[in-house]
Amino acid sequence: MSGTGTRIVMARRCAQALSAFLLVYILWNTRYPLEGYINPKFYFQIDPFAMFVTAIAERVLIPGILYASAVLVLTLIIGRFFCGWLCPLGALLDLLSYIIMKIKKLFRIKKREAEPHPLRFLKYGVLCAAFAFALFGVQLAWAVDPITIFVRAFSFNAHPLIDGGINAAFISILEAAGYPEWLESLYNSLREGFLSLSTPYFPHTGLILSMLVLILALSLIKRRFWCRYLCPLGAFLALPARFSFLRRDVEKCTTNCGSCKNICRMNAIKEDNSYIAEECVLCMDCMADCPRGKSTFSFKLPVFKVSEQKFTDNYRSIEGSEQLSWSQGTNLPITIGPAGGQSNFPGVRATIKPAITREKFIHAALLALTPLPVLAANLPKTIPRAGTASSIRPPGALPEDEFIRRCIRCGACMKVCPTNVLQPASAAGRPGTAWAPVLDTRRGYCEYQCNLCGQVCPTGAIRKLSIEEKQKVKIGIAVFNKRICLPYAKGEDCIVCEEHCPVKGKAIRVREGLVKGKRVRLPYVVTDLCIGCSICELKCPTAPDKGIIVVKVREA
Amino acid sequence: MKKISLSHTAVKIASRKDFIRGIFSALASVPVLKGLESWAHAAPAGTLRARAKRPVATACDLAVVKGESPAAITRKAIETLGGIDRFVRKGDTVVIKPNIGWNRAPEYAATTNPEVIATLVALCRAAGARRVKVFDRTCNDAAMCYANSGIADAVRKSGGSIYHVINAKFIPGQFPPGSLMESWPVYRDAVECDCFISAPVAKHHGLSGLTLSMKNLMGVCGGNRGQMHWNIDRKLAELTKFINPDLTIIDAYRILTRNGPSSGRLGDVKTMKTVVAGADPVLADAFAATLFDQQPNDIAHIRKAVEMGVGSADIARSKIMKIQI
Repeated sequence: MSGTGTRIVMARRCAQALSAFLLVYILWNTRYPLEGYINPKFYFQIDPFAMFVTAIAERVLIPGILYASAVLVLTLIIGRFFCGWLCPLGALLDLLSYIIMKIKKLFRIKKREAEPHPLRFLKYGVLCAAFAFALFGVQLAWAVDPITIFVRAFSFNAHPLIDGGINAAFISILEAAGYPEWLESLYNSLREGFLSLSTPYFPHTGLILSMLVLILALSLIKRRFWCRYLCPLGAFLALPARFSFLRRDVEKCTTNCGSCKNICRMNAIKEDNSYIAEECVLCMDCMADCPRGKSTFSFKLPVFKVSEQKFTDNYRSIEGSEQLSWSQGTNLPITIGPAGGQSNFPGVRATIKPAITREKFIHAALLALTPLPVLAANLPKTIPRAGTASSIRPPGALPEDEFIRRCIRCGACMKVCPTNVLQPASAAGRPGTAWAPVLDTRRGYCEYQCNLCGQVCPTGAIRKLSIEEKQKVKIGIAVFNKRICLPYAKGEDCIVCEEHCPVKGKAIRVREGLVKGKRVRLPYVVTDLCIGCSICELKCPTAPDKGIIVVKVREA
Repeated sequence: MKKISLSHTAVKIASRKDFIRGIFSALASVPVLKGLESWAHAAPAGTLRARAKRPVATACDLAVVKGESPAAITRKAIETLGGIDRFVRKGDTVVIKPNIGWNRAPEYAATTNPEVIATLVALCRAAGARRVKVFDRTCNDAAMCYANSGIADAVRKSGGSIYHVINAKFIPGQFPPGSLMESWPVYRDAVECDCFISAPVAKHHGLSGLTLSMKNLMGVCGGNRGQMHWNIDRKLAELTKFINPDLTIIDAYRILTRNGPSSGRLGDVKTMKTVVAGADPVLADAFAATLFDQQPNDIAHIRKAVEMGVGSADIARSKIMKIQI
């Protein structure tokens, strides 16, 4: 065991845990008043895949490009540190495979890794496809970006479950114990900064969760299955990582015992003990677990060709070492030599294999350039309006088409929304708009003095507005249904809508009128003033249908 | 129509032994089902009785104090009534119910002046109250209302406890038979306390004309409160009788004269620099109406409350101390 290696692995585990914890902490606190916390958009802005795809799809330079480029440059220098050290999804997958490894150990199941599987090129296909779609103005980063998948599963599934669970547990204990003062105080103080006052609820969460579950399930087949074969962010980072300066150095290895190959989570180490630099996520397990401490990393200029001389030297030394390792009686899995029946070195004319061969690149490009993106760009724009489903976007949202291109469905706006009015749109709605935020005006309302959604949007799909600007933004317009509205339909005084209207000078006003011979106060909407905040619809006392509903203003 | 021949269906009929065994196992589940049923039909966790008020003799019926500082006029008003000791005793649990219904800064007069609330909390603590609870069921987002009204900070600094309502603590109230409020859910803390202080801000309201101390009590009600707007005058009178506040102190430091109850325009706010305090909520409301140049009888819920004997609105015959400081 190498001491330095073990220390680095410990540092890496800490970094992973810290990064995942930090993201969860940030997301948990993505709520009113949003002061003193790191903005959740930070994690997306250092995600080059999401940023570049969004920027290309929308053809704008979004601020995140700067941070994302910095990550790419850093990757060029040291490699895919992001995947191994920072990615929260990677951390989750590593935790899962660590547990599985422990279980396997109980049953003495040994794991072997084969040669790097060509399936790894699939992730470049995913990457190419995402960029191809982006060129046609369809942004698909939302569907495949790992950070987004992680964040969405947390905000829409894990948080409501944990928060709701704690809340429900407290309530049932409080009810059973008759509200003891100390416990109630504890609960009240938890509700001040930790728990939600009312647990948020989101529909379509099963579908959202299933993406994460699928990724976790795949890692049961192979460790980091997603990262090895599918992750487009990993593929994007692999492009510069291929030329990174920090390289694995096994020149001193004389045994090629294969232990590093079998522990490599990315399946990046080949039979001949060379490695695929762009697959390496710098987890440093090979360094820590090398029985002889021969696996190290050092900075050097990227090598594209191995000299003939060096290669044959290497070959000889491995040949010679075979006897040594047998005579030492080591029980490590040895995969070299005639006993294994494999020829590791098919020829001396060896060059390091390119990440993607010309043939494969052309194949991938052809696949990506199929008419699919073109079709997707021209999908019908009609909105199937089922029942009372609204298509009202949050205040400050860009015009619909731009909005859809920019929104990466990270769910930050829905997480931060204090009234839970922002909900992911149904996947059954207009194609391509699934999970983008819409207002569920029966669930909450858009708070007049709140602009939080614009503050957390990582791509600027929702503009950052000041409170004064936000109070002027028209997201919809209220319309009375006079067959249901109490004063109009029954001649009874009500005016709950007028009471709640937050607009300065009231966008809902009241005039006296006669209905069924009764003198009542009849409410009406001042179209110029109404901003569509929907508090009138939410608070309207009629059920199940409302006497006033908010509809989207027709776009010019 | 095609007839389906049953003779072809291969149904395996149970043997007699199996049949009897089946009957017995089915019977065995009956007590379990009965038990589950009685559990499912169990009565909800009790109901709330109307709050009883401690008999208190005040030095005057109503104290109306005008002055520059909201804190000073509040203190003076309580002092004029005979001091807080008449209402709050050592070891009491006190509930102060301000209006925190709207996400507005105090200047907009949509919520009770935080200085008034802070002063009340401090007075109660000084009188030996064990706990001073402050809460409201808000109309806008609760966290924002509590923070932006300035009331949360004010209460914490002066030693009270302010918290958000817990939905499970809205319990059906035992309103008298025939009441329009029948079994309307009411917040448990509002009834289970030794002293209830209603501390609203005086505002215009589109439906009830004015929103004063009686309308303030809607903040302890659960359910769909929009539905209370139907026949609201009688409901407010019944609710006031049910909660039976010991002390009412109406903050008229700033009043909202138009576009109530939330407005949001400084032009609608009028600075009166006044508080009205008294043991009779109806009388306090009646006097507060005059600050808006309205007669108590113009306000339907005051009229109804007098009619139902909840309180008096006779300003002329009441002992009202008007003080300027």
